[in-house]
Amino acid sequence: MSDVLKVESRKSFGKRNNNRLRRSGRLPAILYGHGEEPVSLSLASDQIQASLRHGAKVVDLDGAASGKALLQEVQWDTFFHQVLHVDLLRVHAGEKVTIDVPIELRGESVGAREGGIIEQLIHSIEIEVALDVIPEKLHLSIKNLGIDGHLTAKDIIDLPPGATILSDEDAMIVHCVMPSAEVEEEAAEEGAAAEPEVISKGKADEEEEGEEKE
Amino acid sequence: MALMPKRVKHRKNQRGRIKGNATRGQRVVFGEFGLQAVEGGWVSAQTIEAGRVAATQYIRGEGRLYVRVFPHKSITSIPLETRMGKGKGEPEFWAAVIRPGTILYELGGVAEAAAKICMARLAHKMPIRVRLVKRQG
Repeated sequence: MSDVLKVESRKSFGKRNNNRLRRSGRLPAILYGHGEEPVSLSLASDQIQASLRHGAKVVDLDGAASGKALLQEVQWDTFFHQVLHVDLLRVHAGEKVTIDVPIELRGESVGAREGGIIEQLIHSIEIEVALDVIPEKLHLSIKNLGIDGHLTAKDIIDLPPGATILSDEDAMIVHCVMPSAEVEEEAAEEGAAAEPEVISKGKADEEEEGEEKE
Repeated sequence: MALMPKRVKHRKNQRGRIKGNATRGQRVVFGEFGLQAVEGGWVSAQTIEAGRVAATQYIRGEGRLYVRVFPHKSITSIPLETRMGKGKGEPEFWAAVIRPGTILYELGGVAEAAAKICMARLAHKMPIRVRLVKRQG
């Protein structure tokens, strides 16, 4: 059961009007998709924040627009305190959608116990999945990951039925490497330049000449 | 050795003003935890390096530290007991211009408890107020 969002149509556009809307406790949003005209909407700020807290990906619209919509993009402010704008994509029940799903690592790896570092290089992957089985997270078991070993998207354990991975399946998601702290220290000590090179040579020369004259 | 640009167009910069919040570099991208500036200011290359050393010594190769800021701005000063005038002073140090919201450091491959302690040590070195943030989504 997806959350219901009450939406109103929006006639005023632009930065000033949108800021005024946000001050009144509502948010600007846009609904598009399925080859229909995009519709400018506004929705209650606390409603969308609650839906996002519950991990909603699909919402039911009520009011100026109806039907199901995918939360395609949510814009946050700098400090992740307030939602600024929401992009909604029209979808039908049972339709397949393309979505970015975060990847979470599970278990303690063999390599980490032997002194290696677990480095996660990719934190989310793009998948095509039916609307009713969109996962909140995908999991990757790192239990058998040894030193110099790596895991790819093919190793994901809980891909929903009928879902296809659109990102590169062979791309390294997580690997286990030995720490290289000593090398870093050495590299940091090298290259002690007093002042950087000035690109505009001609002008630098002129300045120097000027100083000499003084 | 503190960070510094390799090549610059001009040796000296104007002071400038820090207006508004960060609109880039404000999300945790590489690691799982980040140290986010809550207020704006200049962070010198020496301070960035001091933070890096403090964090690396604590994590001792267990995780990976990412430094997300670079000192692009040269800060000049006039020597003591010098009469005013005679032009702009000489570059003294390099600093990164930090807007509120900028992620200064990121940490990956460590547990949350260790990340908290590490970032607290790092925060003590910073001349501005900072906070610990986690990766979102």
